[in-house]
Amino acid sequence: MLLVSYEFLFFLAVLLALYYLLPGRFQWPLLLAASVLFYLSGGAFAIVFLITTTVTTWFLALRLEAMTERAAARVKELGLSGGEKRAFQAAVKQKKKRVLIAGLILNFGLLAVLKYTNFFLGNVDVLFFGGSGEGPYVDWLLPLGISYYTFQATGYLIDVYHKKIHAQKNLARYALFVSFFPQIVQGPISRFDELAAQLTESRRFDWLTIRLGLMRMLWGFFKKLVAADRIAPAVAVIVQNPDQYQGIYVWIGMFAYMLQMFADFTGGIDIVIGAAQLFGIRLPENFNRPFSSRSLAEFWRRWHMTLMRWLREYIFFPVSTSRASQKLSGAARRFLGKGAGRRAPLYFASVTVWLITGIWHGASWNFVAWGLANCAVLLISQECSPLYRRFCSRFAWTASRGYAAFEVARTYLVFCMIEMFEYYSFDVVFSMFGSMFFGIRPWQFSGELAASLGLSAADWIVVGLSALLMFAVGLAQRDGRSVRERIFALPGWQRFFVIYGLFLAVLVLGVYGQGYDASQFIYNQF
Amino acid sequence: MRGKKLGGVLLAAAVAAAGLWGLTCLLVPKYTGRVVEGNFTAEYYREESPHDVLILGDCEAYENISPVTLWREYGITSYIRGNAQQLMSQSYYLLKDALREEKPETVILSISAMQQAEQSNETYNRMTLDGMRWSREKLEAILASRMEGEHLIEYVFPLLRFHSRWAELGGEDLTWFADRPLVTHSGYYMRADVRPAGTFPAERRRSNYEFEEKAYEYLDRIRELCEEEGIALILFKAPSLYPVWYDQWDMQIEEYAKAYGLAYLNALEEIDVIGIDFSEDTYDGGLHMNVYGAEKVSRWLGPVLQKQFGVPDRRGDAALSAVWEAKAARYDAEKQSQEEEFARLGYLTRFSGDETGASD
Amino acid sequence: MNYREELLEILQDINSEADYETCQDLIGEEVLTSFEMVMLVAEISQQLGISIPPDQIVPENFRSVDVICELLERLAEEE
Repeated sequence: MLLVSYEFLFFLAVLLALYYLLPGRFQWPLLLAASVLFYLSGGAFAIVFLITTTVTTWFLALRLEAMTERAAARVKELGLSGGEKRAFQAAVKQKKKRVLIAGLILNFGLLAVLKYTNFFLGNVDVLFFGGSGEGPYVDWLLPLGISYYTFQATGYLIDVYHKKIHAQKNLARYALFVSFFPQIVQGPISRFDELAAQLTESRRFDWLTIRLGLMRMLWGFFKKLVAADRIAPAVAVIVQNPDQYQGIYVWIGMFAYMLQMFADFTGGIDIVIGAAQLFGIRLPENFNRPFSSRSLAEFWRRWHMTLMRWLREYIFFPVSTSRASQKLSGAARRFLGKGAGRRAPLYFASVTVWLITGIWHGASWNFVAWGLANCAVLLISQECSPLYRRFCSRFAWTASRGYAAFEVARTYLVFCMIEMFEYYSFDVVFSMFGSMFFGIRPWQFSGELAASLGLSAADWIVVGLSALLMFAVGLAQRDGRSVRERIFALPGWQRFFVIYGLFLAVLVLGVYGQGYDASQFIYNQF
Repeated sequence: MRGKKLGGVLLAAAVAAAGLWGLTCLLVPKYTGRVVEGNFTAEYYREESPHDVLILGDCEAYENISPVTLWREYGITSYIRGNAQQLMSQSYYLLKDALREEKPETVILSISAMQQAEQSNETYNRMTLDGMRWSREKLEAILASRMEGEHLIEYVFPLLRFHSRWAELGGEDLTWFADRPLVTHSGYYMRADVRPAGTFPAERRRSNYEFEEKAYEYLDRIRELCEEEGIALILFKAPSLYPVWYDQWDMQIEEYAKAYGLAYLNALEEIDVIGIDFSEDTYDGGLHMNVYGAEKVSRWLGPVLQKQFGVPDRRGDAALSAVWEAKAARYDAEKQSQEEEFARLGYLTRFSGDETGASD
Repeated sequence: MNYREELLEILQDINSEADYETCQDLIGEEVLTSFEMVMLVAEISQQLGISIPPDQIVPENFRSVDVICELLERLAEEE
């Protein structure tokens, strides 16, 4: 079941009615049943993997907690203290660590096998068999949301290991946390402590919350259907034919691509968060006006925030403080000096995180290159930051709004250019960089090439206006106030027309259903 | 205070509904250009008088029989409920739909649709079903013939289906915002241009000539419904040269007619009796009759209906005569105008908008 | 034991321009980015011999210089 489908809206409507009609104690079991149903609608077999992850992380978390409690009881019972206590605790920690690692290997192993087997086989093919491309590839379907729920479930396991949270004893309640239906498709990746309790609370019908959820969904539909899906054909044409679309088209393609990606991803998340809000559940935000970022580092703090948070907490910090990092740091300090010692863990952890980020986004070397390109830019910016700060304190005009706008544009451009690594080989990427700065010919702009993008003038107008609207909403969110709440605070008729207008825009201008093509009607067959 | 708020909500709901209704009226296709078939189903409800004969089927029904001729020469009142690619299931539900309005004595069913149990193009479904008034029959008709990717809700709210027409709205969308012109003559689609029959591609052999079960199912249901209502059912094959009407198909219909004691009129075998001249009587090279061919078929059909099935001559009824005279006048006017245009240009502008129109 | 002096020195080394002493929300105001946090933790480990476990690297423990000092003292005690 796609989030953008009649089926999903129908499913949601029925579920919503049942949810608020049922007594509180049946509400969360209903959500679990709905989540299972939602998952099954995408194919029955994949749920085996979801169940495996759910059960193993649930069980191992309980084991971990039991070990912790037993150890504490033993310490008390034996009256251990000082060195003895520390030695005992260290021994327990070792055991716990083995349990944790078993759980992580199992779950990430499952993800790796399902997601990366073909990537692996392809590389083996290239390395040893000359890359005929005919290799024995597998055609496993990737279970819905596996990249998301695996992270969410393992995050829970690690948190229990660190005693940040208590393990959930009830398997069904825990299963709801892993499988909660709006978010299983594309995140956000929630933490147990922020989501689990909310899921199982009982709730009364609250129109004020529900209308906020509906409005959020409507805005998500707008972004996805009116903006993203309308520009999609042009993006596909440009992206797939880099040799044909050069110069100015690299720019057009870049803007169109980013517009599509932004509208599609944030729109999808708006639908997810809005749908959860219908049930009174607040999911974590995944975006914080990413295109207002003044640097790439800031961008990654504002874009896909729950994934980045996960990577920071469970990869970046642990790797940077790992024994390997510490050894590396010590060695670097001895041989290369204090600065190198300080930097070694940062570089080591950054490269690790960005390799994982890359490969998480897609099973190909392009994504690895994309991740490393991000990593390189971030580290270089970090190294240049003292210089940069001095530059800014020297020139007062760097505090102006114009300069801020320049930085925002620069960040956008840098991100877009890095995105190209996702699609093209190095030589194509660099030739496109060359072409976008030195290959601009004004006459490219008109004529056949422009028409071949497949969008009519009316389409471009709709895309342009929706981009403007998204931009305006972004500006309005600058002071942190909710645009939705401001809309609901408007006087009655203004509120009505704003919401109704948005609704009609989605209804009429959205790209959905079968297009109407009068020429489809071919006479001679009936 | 509460009442005021409630009033506001109701008013807003009314404005919202009116807006959606208006948008729907604006955006649904008007079918007033080259393609007029989307208006056929709804036109039936504009009929003022009852019919003794109801004709059901696809293009072989609505392009080959002229009700005005049947009236003028035999006093037979008839109506064609036909649509492009109208499936047997759709004929069945349109018959049921019509039975709510009136009770004809005779039903003529064009059986060429037996060769196709499932719809091949969503556009045909929409043109056939959108015009139906909402009823249980409409719902069942949709469910029986919808294709993959077609959603019931898009029939309930046609705006969902046709919303993307916003970019191609034209003058006709305003002109025919709320009502439609009459495009048929009692369900008959008139063409007064001529394109002689040429050669057709060779008969393609088929692996299986057996009509599909679903087609038989609805043929059975039509037959049973007619039996229940005491309506005489006639199976009819139009004199179209192409697509081929295979002997194997013909035999199946013959057997079916024999088994249930139905009449089967195969005009293909009566071409000489009817007097069809394929260099004069077809507008698209032998696929469909033009008005001259349709009138000939009607002159052959009229006596059969009267002699074999006792369909009455209603010309003595003053009220009916008035209705049909008006129809005949409209018919003659259009026929004349098409004839004049064809004589002047050698084609009809309205139907040769682009290549597909000209070559069909 | 008080680590304030050493801590400030390390922080100055990482970013000499930032105003660490008065800032009460180093993370929220992005005075200390995650990159700088990692460098800080590495430097603390090397210079002070205190290793901060990853589960302690949370914004709440790095809010301000004083809070970081408290963390260090707590960890040193546990050692």
